[in-house]
Amino acid sequence: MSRAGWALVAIAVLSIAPLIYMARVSLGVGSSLPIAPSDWWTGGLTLDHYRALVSGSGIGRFAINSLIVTGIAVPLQILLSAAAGHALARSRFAGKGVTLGLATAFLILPRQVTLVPLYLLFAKLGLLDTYAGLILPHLADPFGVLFMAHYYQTLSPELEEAARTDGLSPRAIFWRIVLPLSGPGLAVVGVNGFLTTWNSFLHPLVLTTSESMRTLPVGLALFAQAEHSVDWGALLAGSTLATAPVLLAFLLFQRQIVEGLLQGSGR
Amino acid sequence: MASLSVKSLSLTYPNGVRALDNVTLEIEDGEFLAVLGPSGCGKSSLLRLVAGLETPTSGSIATDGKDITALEPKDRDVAMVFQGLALYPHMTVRENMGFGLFARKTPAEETDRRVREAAATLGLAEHLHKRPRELSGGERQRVALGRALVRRPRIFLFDEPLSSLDAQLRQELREELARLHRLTRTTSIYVTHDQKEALSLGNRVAVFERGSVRQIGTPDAIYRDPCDLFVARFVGDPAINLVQGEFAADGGALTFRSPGLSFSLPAMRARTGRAILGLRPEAAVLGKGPDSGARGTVERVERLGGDTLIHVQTESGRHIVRAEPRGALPAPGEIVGLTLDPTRALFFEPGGARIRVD
Repeated sequence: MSRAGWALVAIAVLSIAPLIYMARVSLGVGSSLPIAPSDWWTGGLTLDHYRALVSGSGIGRFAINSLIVTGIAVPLQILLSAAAGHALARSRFAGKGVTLGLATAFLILPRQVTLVPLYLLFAKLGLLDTYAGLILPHLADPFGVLFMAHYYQTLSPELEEAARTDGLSPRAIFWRIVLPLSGPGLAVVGVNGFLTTWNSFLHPLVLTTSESMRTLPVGLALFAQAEHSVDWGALLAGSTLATAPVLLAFLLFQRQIVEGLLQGSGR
Repeated sequence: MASLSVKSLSLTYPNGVRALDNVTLEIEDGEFLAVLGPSGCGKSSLLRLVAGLETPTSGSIATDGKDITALEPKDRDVAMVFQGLALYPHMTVRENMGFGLFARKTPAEETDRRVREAAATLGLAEHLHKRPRELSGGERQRVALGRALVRRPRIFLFDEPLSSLDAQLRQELREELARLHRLTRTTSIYVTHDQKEALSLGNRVAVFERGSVRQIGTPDAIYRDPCDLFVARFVGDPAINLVQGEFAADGGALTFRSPGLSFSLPAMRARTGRAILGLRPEAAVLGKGPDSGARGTVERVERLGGDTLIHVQTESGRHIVRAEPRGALPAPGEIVGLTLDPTRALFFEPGGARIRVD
C-alpha cells in the first residue's frame, strides 16, 4: 500500500475507534464497566443498560420525537435549499450579491448565537414545546443553499433552456428537469441536514420544557445525568442507539455523497 | 412554417459585451439560412434571441409579420437544437422526443404516433427505450433532431449541432439535415463556424462578424462575390490568395502591379493607389510560357484525394492553385508560370472594402 493509503487507514481507525469504544462500553456488565481496552475481552457482555434504557427512560417517546422532527425538517430543508440555490445560481435579480453574502455570513455565525432570540420569538408565537418550534429552526440551512447554488452553477443551463423552448413553465422545469438531476447534491445536503437535525442538542433542550417533547439526544442526556451522577452505561447505550441511524444514512447514501462532493471537479 | 423578420436587433450583456449590433434580416417562409462566422461573432446570440432565451436591448423580431419580441420561449413555437444537445439524461429517447408535446398537453396517442414517425424517419426506432448515455454520438444527435422535429414548430433553430462529431458523421448528418429540410420545408436558421456546412446547407448564407452582418447571399455569391476582405478570407477552403500591390493607369487600361506580377484589366473606372488582389485557387492556372501573369517555384504538391493543390512561391507571395483535373502535375522545385483570370480577380482597399473595377 502507498503512504497515502496507510495515512487513510490511520485516519479511518482514529475516526472509528471512539464509536467502537462507545459500543463496547455500553455492553459492559453492571457498574464495573470495561473502561480500559484490557477489560474488553474479559469484561463480559450484557444488554442490561439497553434494557434499563428502554424500560426506564421513555426512550421510545424521544425516538419518535426525533423521527418526527428530522422526518419533516430534512425533506423540507432539502427542497428549500434546492429551490433557493437554484434561484441564486440562475436568476438575475437585484440584491443577489447581498443575499449570497448574507447566506455566507449565517454560515460563519455560531448557531448558539440564535438561541436567545429564537427562544424569545418562539415564546411570543407560542411555539415553545411544540413540534413546529423544533422543526422551524432547521428549515433554512445556509450550507444547503450555498452548496446547491454552487452545484447548479456547475450544471449546464442548456437543459433548462431546452425545457423552456419545449414549453415548460419555470415551476415545471424545476420539478421535472432540475430536481431529478440534483441527486448527488441533494444527498450531501440531506445527510448533512440529517446529521445536524438528529444530533441537535442545545436548541431542543432550550425550546422544550416537558419531558414528552424531548428529542433523543436531550432525553438520553437528561436521563443519564439524573441524581447528580452520570450513568455511563445508560448514556453510552443511548448514544449507540442514537448514532445508528446516522451511520445508516451515511452508508446508504455514501456513493451519492462522494459524487456530489466531486461534482465539477473534472474527474 | 413562417417567415421571420429581424429588425435592428441589438443585444448588450450586463457585463457590457455587445453581442449583437443592429442586425436586420429577412428570412422567407421555408428558407434555410446558414449563419456563418468566427466564434464570438454574435451568431449564437441571434439564435437565443429568436428562441426567446435572451431579451434584446433594442430591436424587434416578428414571425409572419406578428411581433414576438416580448413572447416567452414556450409561446413562440420555435424548436432549438442546442450545441451540447441538451438531451434530458433521466429520460428515455421516447420521453425526450415527446417531451415538447407532453409539455403542451398533446394527447398521449398523438404524441406516441409522432414520436414513432420521427424515430422511423431518423432510424431511431429500436432505440426508443434507451437513455441518452446508452447511445452513440450520432444517435444522440439524431434524438436531438427528433425532439425538434416531433414538435412540428414554425421555425427550427440549430446552434452548431454537428460541432462535436467526427468528419464522417458530420457529413452523414449534414445530408440528413438537408433531407429533413426538403421533407418538412420548415424555416430554419443554422448557426455554424464551419463554412462547408454553411455553404452546403444554406439557401442563403449570412456572414457575421463582431455582432453584425457582413454579407448575406447565396452560397455562390458569398464565395464568388464577397463584399469585403473579411468575407473573402473567411469563406473559401483553401483560403483566398492575397497579393499586396497598387493600381496604375496605363493608357486606356487599368494595371495592377505587384513585385513579379502585373496584369491589365479592361476597366471602366480609372484609379490609382494601393490595393489588395484576391485570387481564389481556381482563378489562376499553371502555365508554362513567359507570357503568364507571374512566375514562381513549386513548393509543395498537396494531394487531397479528388483534388490537388499546388503551392507556388512567387515574388509577391505564396499562391495556392487548384490543379486541373487530369492535368500533368509539376514537381516540387520546378519553376512554373501562373496565368491569372482577370475576370475572377477580386480587389480590396487596404482597409478591407471591396473595390469594384468593372
